[in-house]
Amino acid sequence: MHKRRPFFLLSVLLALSLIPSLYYVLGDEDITVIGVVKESRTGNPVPNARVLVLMGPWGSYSRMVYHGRADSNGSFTIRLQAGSDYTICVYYDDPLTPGFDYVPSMKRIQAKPGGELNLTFELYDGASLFLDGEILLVETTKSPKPLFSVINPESGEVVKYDGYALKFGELLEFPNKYLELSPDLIIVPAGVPFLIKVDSKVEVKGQERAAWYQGNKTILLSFFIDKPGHFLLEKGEAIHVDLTKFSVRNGLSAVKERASEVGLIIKEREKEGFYVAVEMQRLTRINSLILEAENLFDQGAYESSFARLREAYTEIMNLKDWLNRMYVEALKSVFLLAPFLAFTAISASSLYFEEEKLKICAAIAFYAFFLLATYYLYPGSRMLDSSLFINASLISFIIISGLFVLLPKFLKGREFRGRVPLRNIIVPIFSIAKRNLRRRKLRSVLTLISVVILVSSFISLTSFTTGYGLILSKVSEHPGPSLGIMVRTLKSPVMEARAPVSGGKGVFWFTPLENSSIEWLKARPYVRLVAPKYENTPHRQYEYRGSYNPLGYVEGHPIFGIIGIVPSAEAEILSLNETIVEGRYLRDEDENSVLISEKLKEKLNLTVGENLTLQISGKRLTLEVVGVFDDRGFENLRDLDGGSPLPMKIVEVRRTPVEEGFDIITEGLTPCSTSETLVTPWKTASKIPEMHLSRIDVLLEEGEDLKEHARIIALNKGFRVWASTEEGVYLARLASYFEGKGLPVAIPWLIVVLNVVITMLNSLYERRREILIYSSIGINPSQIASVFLAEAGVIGIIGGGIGYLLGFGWYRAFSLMAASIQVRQKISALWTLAAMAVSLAAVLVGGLTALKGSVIITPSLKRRWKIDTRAYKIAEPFKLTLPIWIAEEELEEFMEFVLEALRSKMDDYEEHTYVIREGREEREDASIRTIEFFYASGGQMSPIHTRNKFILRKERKKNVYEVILVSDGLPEAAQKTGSFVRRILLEWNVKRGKLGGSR
Amino acid sequence: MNSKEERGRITFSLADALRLGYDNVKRRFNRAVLSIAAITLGIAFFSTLSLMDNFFQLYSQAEGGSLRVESYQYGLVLVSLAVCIVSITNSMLIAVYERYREIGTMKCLGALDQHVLKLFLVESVILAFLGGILGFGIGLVASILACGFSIGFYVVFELSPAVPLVLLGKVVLLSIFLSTVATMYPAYKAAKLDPVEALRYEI
Repeated sequence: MHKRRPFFLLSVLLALSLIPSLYYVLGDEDITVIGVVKESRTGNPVPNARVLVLMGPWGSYSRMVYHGRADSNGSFTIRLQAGSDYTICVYYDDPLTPGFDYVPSMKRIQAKPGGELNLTFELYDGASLFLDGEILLVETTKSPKPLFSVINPESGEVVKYDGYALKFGELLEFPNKYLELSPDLIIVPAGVPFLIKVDSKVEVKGQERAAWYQGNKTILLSFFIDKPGHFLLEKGEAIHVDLTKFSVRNGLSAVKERASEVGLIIKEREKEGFYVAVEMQRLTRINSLILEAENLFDQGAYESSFARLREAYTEIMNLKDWLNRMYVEALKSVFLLAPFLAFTAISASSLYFEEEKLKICAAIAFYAFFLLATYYLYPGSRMLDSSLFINASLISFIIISGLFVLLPKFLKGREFRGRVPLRNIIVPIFSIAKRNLRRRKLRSVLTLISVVILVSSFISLTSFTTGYGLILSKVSEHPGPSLGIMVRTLKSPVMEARAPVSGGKGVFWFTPLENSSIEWLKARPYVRLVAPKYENTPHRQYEYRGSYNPLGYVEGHPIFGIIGIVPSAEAEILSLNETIVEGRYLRDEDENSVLISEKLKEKLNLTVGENLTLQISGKRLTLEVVGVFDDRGFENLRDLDGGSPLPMKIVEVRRTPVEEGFDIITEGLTPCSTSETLVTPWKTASKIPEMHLSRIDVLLEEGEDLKEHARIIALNKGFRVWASTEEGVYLARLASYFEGKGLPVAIPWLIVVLNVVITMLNSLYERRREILIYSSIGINPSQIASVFLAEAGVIGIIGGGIGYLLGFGWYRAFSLMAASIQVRQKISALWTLAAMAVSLAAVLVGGLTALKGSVIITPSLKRRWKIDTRAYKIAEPFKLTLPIWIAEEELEEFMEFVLEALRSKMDDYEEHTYVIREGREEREDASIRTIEFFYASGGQMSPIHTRNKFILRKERKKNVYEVILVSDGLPEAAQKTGSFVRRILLEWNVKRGKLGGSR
Repeated sequence: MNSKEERGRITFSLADALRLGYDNVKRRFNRAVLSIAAITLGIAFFSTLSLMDNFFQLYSQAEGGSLRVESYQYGLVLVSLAVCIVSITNSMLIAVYERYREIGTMKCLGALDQHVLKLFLVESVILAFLGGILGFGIGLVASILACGFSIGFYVVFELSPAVPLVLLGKVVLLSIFLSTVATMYPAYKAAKLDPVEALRYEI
């Protein structure tokens, strides 16, 4: 007995500790619910109905506290803890009927402590609706999370029983997972008409709404699953409806509606005076896509139909966005056009008239004419309130006139050593240019006409479009290893990333695919084989911030890449099995098996059949080496996209030191080498950390159009899809695009350049005397050149302005002639700048080419000179006048510069000077400074020697020195010496320019 | 000037005009090259588009579809030819100004207005002919390369040789026509020059 005492005491204590629990279970804190389940139509009890009790309201977050059945009389009794809210759901399905027999009945109760609660559940006749297929929404490529509501077609309200709405989906009244029902099932009332409303919240990519829009937006999209006369089912009946069909049907009507909406906007824009040929053409394309989609829908090809609708939808969104922007741009641009026209008008009047009054009158007249033309040709000016248009025009004119009057007053700088700064002569240069243009009126007008034609054609016959949509491009001329398609979601090419940006551990260069994509592809009727591939995210191969971080280690050897494959599929697609040189290839049923390269095998000293230990992210995996592949053979493998199937690693491309201890590293991605890569079956790969589904190769049934399916998948799912066809590899993707038309405008541009060159060259030839006069009064070559460039510039500015207006005239003419020129109208006033750029570029390139080709004034061509050999007489030196004048105050500095330049060549081998002597002579009529020197060139092979005297001579009445070189030697030697001295003078000119500029 | 006097009438044969025109082109070779380049560019563009249109039609017949040269491109051809006319006019005007004294001397020696007119027109025809041939050659190569790389070289070999030959005739005629139209005014101006004024003129 004594021995049993401790056990007895322990039992008593245990019993005492259970008392509170028993009190809790059996005491007043509980409530008894007595329920009866009846058939609503007959009032008969429903035996064996299932009873489900959830704590709180019905929903995914509720906790199930009871799950049982009613007895054969349809009664049940359950005890619930008081103080909480409960939802009791009763439902029943006769297994002999194909569908659900009753609509579940639900009641919500508040369990107050003590007593009983009697409830009667009436079950209404029900049936089943199975949803097949998937929801395809034209607005997005993302899969929606739908909510299905059973709707009464008469009232349009959601059908309710006992206050509970018949809604199915996550977080809703009837989450099928509690009822242990298929997620595709909707329980519907029998004997009454109904329809199903589908509401989907989806995140729409910004670019799918407008090409320029970057953010994402969540929108609610709804459609009905319905048929004529609505659904009417019998008790226990089950029907299947194709969600794809109904969602595509909805998409079809939505796209049609949007297309007609866009059609109305186009008509509106046309009425407003916009040229909408491109927009009309795009609408025609949209309509033909819709028509195609309709035909495919009628044939039951819902996916193909949907692909057309997606394409039409993205086109519609782009078009709608552009049409809206067109309107806004046109309104805004009027305020920029007015000053531009004022500038052109005043420039034109300044060119043609000299007298101030005439200039002002002409400027006003030109401006008025330009404004009238704008009003007639530019739609934005008519859309704007007329008083606002007039006010903006007046203000612009006043401001631009003010600038024309005031600007010359500010263009004045101080003189330096008698040299006039360039900005002081801007106004005179333009004045001279204007007169010259007037003097050669006909030629100037002809050049102006050519510029006007050029600019107007640039405005009206070129077109630049941006958008978002499907792009199908050929990426390789050679097909991949098999004919098929490959799916992946590459991030925008991250081929180079700066180290601080790309973060510590590694970068995704692909967005992992969801596993559901595999199932989705397998379900396509045209698909024969699906081969998913897993790979790791790239790791750095170099030491980054003091740490070396490969993906993992095998026996101390770093591993950067692991590929997980379906062996049989890859054998068919990539012929991977043919690279095995030892052991065997992987089998689909293999687990914990691995293939390694020959090089890795040698490094690790492993044999086939041995195990290796992979250490990765703190985990250790033991894998059996079943085979060894040939390194070269594996490296040469190409996937269906034409690229290597090897995973990527990050390498250091460039290192730029910024400060001590901190470098900016430019990184690049490159395929891992085979000795750093392991190949495992996908089941093994899925156990390894950092492995993701990166790509799926798909082989299609024979005769299927690969490009067409690539397009469909890209449009429907938003993937990047490569199609490996016999003609090469194509890539289909949804992306932003830029379309430019009118590159051949470069040809008229070139002709205009040639025209300007001809005119300018002739002008230079005709005006050589004038140029000499300019030179003699101290205007330097660059200033003379600027006179010619100013002439070209004036033509460019006026031609640009008038050409821009004429360009709009062409749009009007196209409209009136109903000519369909496929160009997008240049609405934005910023195109005025482009017009100016085109015109100025043409005239200035022409002008500069002519100036460069001419030896009359161009300073850089001072070296291109020849001595007159006819003047050569034996024993007489050449006397060469050099093209420079030296001011009195510059003399000492100049002498020093020349002497230093000559002395610097004393030790030179190719070109050297010797016996340098400086001299000075003061005469009655002149002051003379001299430098005598000998010059030798040509080395020992063909030496030339000259004896020279460099003379600076100033007449007493003048204040500048002229410079002469007297060179004694053969003509070739004198020519060479002359060139040498001219180079020194050119350097002096540059130095002098810098000094002047620094003041 | 090789002119012959026949019963008091001065004659100026086409051969003389051609020889003189050729001499003038040689003498002002740089400017002539620029003028020819302008004609060449315009004609090359036109030839390229015309040939490409032919290639596209062949391709469309063989492969289906309706590949065509877009209409705006023909607009640009018109623009190029218009600019080309202006450029030739300008160039010829410059030639007239430069040769004022020469024209004056010719007239003093008995040259008639029509002789001067003929001289300038012949010069422009020489330029146009060279520009037309060169332009066609460049256009032919450009269109073959453009089509070959975009739709395949096989289409090029399917084109009947008559098509480019007819086009060659057309473009040469077109360039001569354009050049003649462009030279009309400068030539007329030169022809109507008063010899006294012309001899007094100084550049």
